[in-house]
Amino acid sequence: MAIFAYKDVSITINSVDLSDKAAGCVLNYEIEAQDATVFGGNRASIAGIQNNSLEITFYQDFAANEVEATIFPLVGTTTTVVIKPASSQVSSTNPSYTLSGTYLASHTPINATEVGTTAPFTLTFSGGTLAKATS
Amino acid sequence: MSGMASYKVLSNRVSGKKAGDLISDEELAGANVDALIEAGHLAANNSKKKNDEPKVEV
Repeated sequence: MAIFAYKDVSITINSVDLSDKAAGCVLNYEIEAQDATVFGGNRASIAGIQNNSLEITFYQDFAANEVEATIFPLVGTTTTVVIKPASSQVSSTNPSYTLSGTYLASHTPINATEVGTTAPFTLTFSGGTLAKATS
Repeated sequence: MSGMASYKVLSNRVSGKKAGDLISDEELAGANVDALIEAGHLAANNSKKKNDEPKVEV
């Protein structure tokens, strides 16, 4: 398969499709390593708990039902976010990643750092359980 | 038997739905419904379900 270029990433936050306002997305999947080293052995680890995070960069939009209206009520709560490499149907070559029970601690409603710029902002979701589906 | 709640979709951004569609609690599993209502994506559906109507004895 060819090297993949991200051109049409699908981003659904709290059941709301905001893909057409996003410009970046980084999903980190981690299962923490817990030390299980014993006397007489070498360094060893076992799987701990999931420690996932997701960063999404948006262009701001204050219109009804758009980015700001959707994100603002989610601060301080948990929700579900679904990411796909492309907007087409889920398949083995376009898997979906569902991060459920993930927490949004903060949001930047105004990011007007320079006059006349679009000034994208980044949301960070932390924690939650990640599941991958290919059908 | 308790009926499952449903909501009226108000925007065209709710996954797999169009404005005017109904969406059930089951379809919203894992979502923050209060936030969706506050954001203007959903409204409580006030239409009565058929099985809520009183039974008429014959």
